[in-house]
Amino acid sequence: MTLETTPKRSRRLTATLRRVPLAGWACALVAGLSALTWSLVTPPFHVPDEVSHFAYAQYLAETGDLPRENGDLSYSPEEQTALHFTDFYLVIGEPSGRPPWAQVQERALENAPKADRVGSGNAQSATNNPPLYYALEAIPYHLAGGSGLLDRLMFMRFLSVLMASVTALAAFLFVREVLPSTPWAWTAGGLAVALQPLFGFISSGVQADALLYMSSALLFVALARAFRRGLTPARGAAIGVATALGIFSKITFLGLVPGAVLAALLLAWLGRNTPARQAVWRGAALATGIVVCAGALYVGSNVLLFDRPALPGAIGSTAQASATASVAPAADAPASHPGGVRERLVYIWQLYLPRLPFMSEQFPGPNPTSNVWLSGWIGRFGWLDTAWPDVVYRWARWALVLLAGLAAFATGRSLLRDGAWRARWPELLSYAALAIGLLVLIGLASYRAREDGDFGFQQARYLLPLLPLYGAAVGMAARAFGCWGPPVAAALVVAAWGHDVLAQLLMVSRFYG
Amino acid sequence: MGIQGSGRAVAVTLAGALVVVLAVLVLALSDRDVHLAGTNNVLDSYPVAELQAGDELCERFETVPGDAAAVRLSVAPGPSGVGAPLSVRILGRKRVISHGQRPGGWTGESVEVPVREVSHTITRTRVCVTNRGEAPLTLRGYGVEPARLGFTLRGDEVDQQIRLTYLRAEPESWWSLAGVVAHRFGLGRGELFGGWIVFAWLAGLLGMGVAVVMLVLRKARP
Repeated sequence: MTLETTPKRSRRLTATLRRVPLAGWACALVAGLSALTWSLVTPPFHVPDEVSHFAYAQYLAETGDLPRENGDLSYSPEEQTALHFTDFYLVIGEPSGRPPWAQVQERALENAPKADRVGSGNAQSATNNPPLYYALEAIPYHLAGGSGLLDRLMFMRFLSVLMASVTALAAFLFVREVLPSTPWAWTAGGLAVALQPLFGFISSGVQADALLYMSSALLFVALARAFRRGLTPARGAAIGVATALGIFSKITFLGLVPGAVLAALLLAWLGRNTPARQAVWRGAALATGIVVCAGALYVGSNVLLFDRPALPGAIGSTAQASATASVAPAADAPASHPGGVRERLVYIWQLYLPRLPFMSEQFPGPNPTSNVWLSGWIGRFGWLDTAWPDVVYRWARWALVLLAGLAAFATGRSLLRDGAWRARWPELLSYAALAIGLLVLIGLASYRAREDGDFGFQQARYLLPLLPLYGAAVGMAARAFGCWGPPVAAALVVAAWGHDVLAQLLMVSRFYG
Repeated sequence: MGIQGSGRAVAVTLAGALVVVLAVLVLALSDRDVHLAGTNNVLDSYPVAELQAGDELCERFETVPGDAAAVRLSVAPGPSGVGAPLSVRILGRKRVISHGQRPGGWTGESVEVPVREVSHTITRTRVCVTNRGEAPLTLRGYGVEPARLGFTLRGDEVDQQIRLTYLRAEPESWWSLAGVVAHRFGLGRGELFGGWIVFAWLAGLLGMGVAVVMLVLRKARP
């Protein structure tokens, strides 16, 4: 890169950002406000696994080193002190427990002896995560370095809030690419994502998932642009950078990689006979090269610099508290013996879909489709210890099913019209591969967790990397109403806002009422 | 539907949806219930004490919150399933701060004993429960170390605590509880993020709603 090209590229980036419709920025603002309000309403460490993610970030910020698994399960003395004085372990998973309500507890917390910020270096469930999110969190951590731990935690939460804004913006841009002829659907899809309560809640905490959601949304929009406008070196680089970001954010992202590879292959194949095929090849090569380099860098630094396994960890794990608080062991506690490939496949199938007659029963208790994924999407907050009344789940699940049905109907109708599917099947196949890859990875991790005796593994938040598809589905569902689409979309968006606000009031009743 | 008609339909639908959502919010916030004044956050996982007729158990080092007007005890139902009469005393260093009793005949896994309302939060008190019936009473709670932090029963220091939940006096709506909630909101948040965050939170929720409405109306404009 020469000195002359840098300002040129900078101008191009500025021009690209200027081309983003105002509605896109508004969606980002709404997502930011949603995550910000969630961060204010949620007591410290009550976002799932926030204790571990904070511990990782603190250890990295203080020592410049990555955490490692060791026999010592305690966090830094400073964090342990904060957890003790906020009654953390007596409140998570215990719906009748409450955080400090009395001034005397507040004073005890303020007067607690200053404790060491560096512990043994074990960040429990976050230990094996890639370091990018935590390295970024070191910035607010140090900016607020002179203040107490709870203040630093809040500043760190704001970085996740910022990531939520980018995620919603990317979701808006994705819907714009996949439904270019329906501008109102972009706004509806973007706002549906921005106001999704589970997304706002998880993105309100110190949680590496925030970066995972952001990078997967960026990958979706990068792929959509390449499918709609053709693969170029710049778009290939965007796909590669989004994928690399994801790999450095959380191992869960590996579930999206097969879909991204398939998409790159299909993009190259689609461009094989075009005049710009050289640019297409260069774009595909650039995407592949960036991802391979990022993967090699990650594996190499783990082994050579940080003395860790080449690819440590897997999809996030639930702590004991959430395991006991969510799905009771009896609910899905059949065969816990190791199984073969067939049993794994049967397990993964039933994790998401109804059991077929020839399949052995994997979930004799409550059906996970309805009780984990649909209900979880409607919302379980805190460490899965804050839930809506049953009647809300009963009705809202049907609303989600209706939404999915309308989206499927409108998509089918749109694809069949004038043979549109012929032009768009590679794109749709790629999105399906991205989704299936993630679902399979979650299924395999869940199966492994069950073998290890952890029956509370599945959580709807693991599906949030697919938020852009959710945004598109909301847009498509409204399109099913034809010329009544815009009013229906307006009603859906207001309902989404109401859902978000009521979910936060649920937190108020759980922690302050 | 024409562009003009579509814009009008969006505005009308938006207004209708807002009315419905706001009505649900108002209904939810107007729901009246007896709310907590506080809890000692002891898990009630195990039966930790059996009180025979006339026995008194005293939980020590309790922080009794202001506005507490009843004490809820976690109990294990006896063989008959019908609870014995109980009394509760809240003791300061030199005097009885509050007391109350509950006649027998109650059922279930918890029992609430009304006491004289405590005006302000009191720390390091003793909360004593007396079984005034004939049948034994089993209380639930959790272990604690060392034993001096636990309760006393028949003169012994026991390394267990009982779960105590303190309730406010009357059923209240969230509207009337707003001041209390606002106070609680700012506790345990650090030095910079105190009581003001509840206002930031409300402003954020409102801002979100305004942004959504403006955005939808802007998109609907012909």
